[in-house]
Amino acid sequence: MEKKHIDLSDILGDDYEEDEEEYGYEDYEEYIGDDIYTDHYDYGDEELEPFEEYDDVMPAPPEKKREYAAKPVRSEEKPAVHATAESPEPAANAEPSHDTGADRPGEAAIPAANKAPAAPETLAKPEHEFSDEPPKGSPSVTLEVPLPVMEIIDILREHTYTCYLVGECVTLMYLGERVMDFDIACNASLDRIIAIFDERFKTREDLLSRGELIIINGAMGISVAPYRSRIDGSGKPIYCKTIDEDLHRRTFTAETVAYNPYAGIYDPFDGLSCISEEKTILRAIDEEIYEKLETEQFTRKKKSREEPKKIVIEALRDNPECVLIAMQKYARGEAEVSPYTLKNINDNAELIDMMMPMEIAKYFRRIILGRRITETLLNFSEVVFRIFPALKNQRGFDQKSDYQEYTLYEHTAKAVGYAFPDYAVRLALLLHGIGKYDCAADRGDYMTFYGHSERGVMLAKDVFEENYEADPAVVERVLFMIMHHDDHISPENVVQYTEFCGLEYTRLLLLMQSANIRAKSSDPVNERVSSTLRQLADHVATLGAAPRAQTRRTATIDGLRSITDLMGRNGI
Amino acid sequence: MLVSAKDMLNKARDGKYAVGQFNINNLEWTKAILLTAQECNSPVILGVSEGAGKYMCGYNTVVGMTKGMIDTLGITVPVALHLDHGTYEGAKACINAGFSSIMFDGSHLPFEENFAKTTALVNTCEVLGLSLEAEVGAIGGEEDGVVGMGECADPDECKKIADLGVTMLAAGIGNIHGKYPENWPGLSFETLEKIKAKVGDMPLVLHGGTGIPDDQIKKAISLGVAKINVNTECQLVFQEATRKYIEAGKDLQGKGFDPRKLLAPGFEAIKAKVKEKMELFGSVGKA
Repeated sequence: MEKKHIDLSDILGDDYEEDEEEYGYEDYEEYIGDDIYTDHYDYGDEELEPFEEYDDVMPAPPEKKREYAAKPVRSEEKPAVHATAESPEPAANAEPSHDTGADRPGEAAIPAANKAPAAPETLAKPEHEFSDEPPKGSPSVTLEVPLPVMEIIDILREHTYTCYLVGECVTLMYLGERVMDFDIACNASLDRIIAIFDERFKTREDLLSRGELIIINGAMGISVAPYRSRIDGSGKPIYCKTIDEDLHRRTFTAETVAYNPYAGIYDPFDGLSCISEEKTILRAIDEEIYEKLETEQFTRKKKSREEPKKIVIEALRDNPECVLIAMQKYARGEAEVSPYTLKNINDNAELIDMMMPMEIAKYFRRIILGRRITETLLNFSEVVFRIFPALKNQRGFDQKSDYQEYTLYEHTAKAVGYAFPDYAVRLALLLHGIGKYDCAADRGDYMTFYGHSERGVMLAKDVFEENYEADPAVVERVLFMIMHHDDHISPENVVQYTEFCGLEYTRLLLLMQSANIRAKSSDPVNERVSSTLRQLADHVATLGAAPRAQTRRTATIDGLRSITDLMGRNGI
Repeated sequence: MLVSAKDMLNKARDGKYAVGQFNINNLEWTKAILLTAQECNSPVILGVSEGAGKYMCGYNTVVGMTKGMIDTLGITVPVALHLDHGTYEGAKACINAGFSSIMFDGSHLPFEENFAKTTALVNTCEVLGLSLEAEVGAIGGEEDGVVGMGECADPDECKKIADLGVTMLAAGIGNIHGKYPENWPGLSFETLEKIKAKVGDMPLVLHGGTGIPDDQIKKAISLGVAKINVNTECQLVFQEATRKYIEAGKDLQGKGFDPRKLLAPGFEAIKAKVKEKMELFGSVGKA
């Protein structure tokens, strides 16, 4: 069979280069393998390992339950599976836990000579019976599952394991969108999963520590994992027995919808009500219970004046990473957050203290580049103050200025939102005002902030050393922009300015000032100035960006002079 | 094309002459001043007070009219359209409308407020390439409701404002708007020298040009004044010419009632006065 090179843009879309980081890996081919067979799932004359004809070897649903040995028969090649806390040893004479229900009524039992391999390890019987009929109350929905994924599901079923598609893939399929990653949860142990698939397919084991085996089938990477009730802070999975427990750990109801192609949708937490084409709503599991509890507590407080206990939604407490995931999705415009979940996130912002600073910075980098960053900074303000405590005193701070229409934090949030989506520029705008509080001098009708740039640099250095991890090159640029954010750069002096600090830094500073000025007030003059600075930044950019471009100074300055002449003639 | 006043004033300061700012009040005035400037090959500044701007149906109308005239009449000399004695809000409105030069008159405000607002405008005008005039020490007399007492500016305050980066500075040195009274003591050149010593090569502005004796005008130019404002004098000659036309009964003769005929004498009078002033200031042939 010919190997076919995969055009990544066919898989990831025309803009895949920009989205590369989103997928979390540098080289997509490394992820899916470079020896993929594009027509592997074409059950024609091509080789199909290990079966020639699919139907002949599909285990027929027996009319009576099969009897299995109390202890599973071990393969000589595979080590014995020992019970652990996560995967309990099957009890002697225990009922087989995996489903052997009527998948295909009417089919004859497999002859003894062709019986399936020795009985796999059993788990406790799941609550949800496997059957052709969807669970009561489940919406009648059929999702189009790609054949490579169906093959994996069918192999698991063939080994009489119950499995479901879970996570984001179900949401996306429900919305009719393209899905790149498929996750399957089942009631097989990880060792059994490995045993079943390892020799049949190319697999990836880099997520095994999280309890996932990645199976490469066709052009797809399909994750198969046992049911997991938690993944702890170190990434270690805590296994469980039921699909409900697995779904419960997923924090937001929109992600708790499971799908089995034979049984249908399983939606125990009403996740489908949060999914629509217009928007997805992130609502924490059991939100309504906690909301009611808080309301009752508030009522009691009014009567008894007792100090209420802090309410934290269990799903958030158990998975604090979801706070930043919610912020990320919100910032990118991918989802809304339900009001009470948002309130609870803000009330319990300290949850993210359990995360590593590097992890927080990784998420925040994506958040700050989102198109809805202004709303994110305002709506998730307590989380932002947790990450950057130095910003806290900006909340509600009135600068008493005729030129500033907003409080200091509102101005900061707007400025970040207006800025070109450059990480260093947006980070600099987020921190550019942190020196103002310390330098504020109230003169009655107005305030002065002399020295706030210098103070801001000192405080920003502390931020990067103590709270927030960032690349040294980014830190250098951010500190430069904070220091010089009030410098006067105009078409007339931009040439001299580039001599002072190079093209790249001048461009970054112009981008920053453009956003900062526009965020001061809704005065149209500010917009005009902002636009002019932005144009100037774009012109500087066309000459290339080189830090401290001393060696290229002559050529670039001559080029800039012609640009400023051009802008002057055009009335800019 | 409208230009900022910066270059023309720097050249005037270096060349020891002054550029005239002639206030406009309607189409005829604007046309008269522009044509005279072109004929004299002189840079010129068209001044618009907030009251005149309102009278002419807003700043957008003024900008449109001026740009249209420059284009149609083929004016090639540098022309700046300048807001005269603007408030902070007026300054922003003119920036948005397309003026190329702004005067922010914070002289009647507490110094610190004047300082703060001037600072805010400096950066805006720098980025947009506009020239900015600031005032220290109120100019005496009355103009469009702006009334001052003819103060002499504090040279230290002048320096503080000049250091903000304004393009030009109007400092009170005893000058007043409108007609000068008979007992007017004259310009305070001592103050002017002190201010000049403090602000260095910042172009200085002399308001209330009407009625200042020619010798004082020339002395002021030699001490660093690069822009001189004229309004009342043009109003007076326009009024006189128009009155003569009416008193002569010419409006009753033939089609003498045609506004183009009725306004023509005033138009010509303004042209003559502007030319006279340009010659006095020394800006003829300097475009």
